[in-house]
Amino acid sequence: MSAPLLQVADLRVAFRSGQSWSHAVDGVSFDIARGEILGCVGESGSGKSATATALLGLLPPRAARVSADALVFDGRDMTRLSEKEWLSLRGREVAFAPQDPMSALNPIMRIGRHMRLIQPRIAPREAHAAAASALQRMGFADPETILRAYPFQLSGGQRQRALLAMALLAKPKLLIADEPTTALDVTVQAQILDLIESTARADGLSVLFITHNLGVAQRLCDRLIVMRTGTIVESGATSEILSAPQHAYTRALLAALPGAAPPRTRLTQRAAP
Amino acid sequence: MTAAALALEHIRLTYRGRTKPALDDVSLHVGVGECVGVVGESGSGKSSLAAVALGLETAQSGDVFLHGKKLSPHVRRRTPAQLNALQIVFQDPAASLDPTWPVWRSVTEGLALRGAARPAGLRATAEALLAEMAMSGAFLDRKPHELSGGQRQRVALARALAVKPDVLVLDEPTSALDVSVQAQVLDLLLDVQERRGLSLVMISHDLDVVRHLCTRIAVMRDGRVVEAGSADEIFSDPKQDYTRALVGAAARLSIRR
Repeated sequence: MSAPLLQVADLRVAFRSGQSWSHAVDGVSFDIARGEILGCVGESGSGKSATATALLGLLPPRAARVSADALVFDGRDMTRLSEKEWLSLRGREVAFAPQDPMSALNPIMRIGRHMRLIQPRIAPREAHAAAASALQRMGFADPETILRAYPFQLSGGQRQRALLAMALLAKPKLLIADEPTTALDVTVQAQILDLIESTARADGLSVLFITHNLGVAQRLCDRLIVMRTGTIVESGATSEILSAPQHAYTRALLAALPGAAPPRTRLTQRAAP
Repeated sequence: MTAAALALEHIRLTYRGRTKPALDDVSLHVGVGECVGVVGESGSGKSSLAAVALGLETAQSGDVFLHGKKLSPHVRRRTPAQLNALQIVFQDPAASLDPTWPVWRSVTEGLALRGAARPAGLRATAEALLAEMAMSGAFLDRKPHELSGGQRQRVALARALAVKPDVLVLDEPTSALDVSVQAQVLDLLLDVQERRGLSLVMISHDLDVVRHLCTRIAVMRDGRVVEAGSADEIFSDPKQDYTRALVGAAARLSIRR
């Protein structure tokens, strides 16, 4: 069996608060295999976004402290990367899809120029063709119009699909997606999850999919880690965790979902499955 | 037939500068003690419908009735009793609570405005309302920024209930909350509705939440109600293609056990 694409062992992230440090991530270990979709499920304050930000090397060094026994991406030790090495990794081998695409896009730059900047060493004509085909793969029938559009001219779903097209343009090995569909309508959510899944299956892309929505996790992810207050309380195959959750917190999360309960039952008093 | 607690009849609303109507001949009836869900995607008109019911937006045509009595389309021309009887809770409690006010003052603002209680009694009233929301008196003097999202939403709910409404409109009340906090708020809503015999209008894009609370559902798209019926009909036997697509997409994102 080949080595996992990403190995994380005992990851800790602490943020400065006044004179002391508070741990947002407190000893988290997991692997992601090549082509695997790993779901990271948790609520506010669970440390799921801090984990993602650490894996992207985007935590401000003075305000945050990252340590790990191992943080290995594709055979490289991520804890020893220089900023220059991060620049060649981030956005190319490790891509990111954030929750709010509007804040990730430059409001006065057309989509085409965003996509041009991702491929600096490629001839304009080829870069344009690659951008158009990436948009087409994300379900845009008329990519030329999208390339000419400013972010504000697109709907929320279109922006998120354009951002995914950008994230996947450099054919990354790992996509870190932080609640990429939370703000979207259900029909658009379903469409975007399909796009992420088909890309992962077709291109062997690995995905770390961060979500608070267990239904979405069930739909998309091969394996899950369930996080709470900076630690992993449970991990395993998605079907096993959801059919036979071992940890009380996972059971409480499942019981809290209105879609799984008879109408008008009290969700906080439901017997854990 | 008894009059509906809240009835909207043939509402047409086009926002200034727009040609496409936000609401295009929309009617909605909410029986006494009934919980009616309004679902739809962004831009479908569901929040506009709430705004017209509350008199916050003025429709070009159509009427709003409360227990059979026609309401003025303008919130300022409604009587205090009418204002009390129809209340709303919005999605973002941080935006609907004054950040400089302590909780007790926000909760009793409606009572104070209508001169319904003496100032000395307001704190006690606020404390009783917070207790109904499963919050202790320790929260009375806190400011909104000292509360979690779920606590803020419970304060917003306490404020709406302070004036003893008959009908409560909830516009995406749990969309910004974690699932475990959403569960607490949904439980509270059910308790309050049953205890007070409230009529509810639940506006949400989350079909699971609406199905959990509501017995009747209206599906909106592009300013129209495309389908309305019992929750069972809408979910198990949708008639319109759009309802089928919406229910289908939601089912794929919802947990299967």
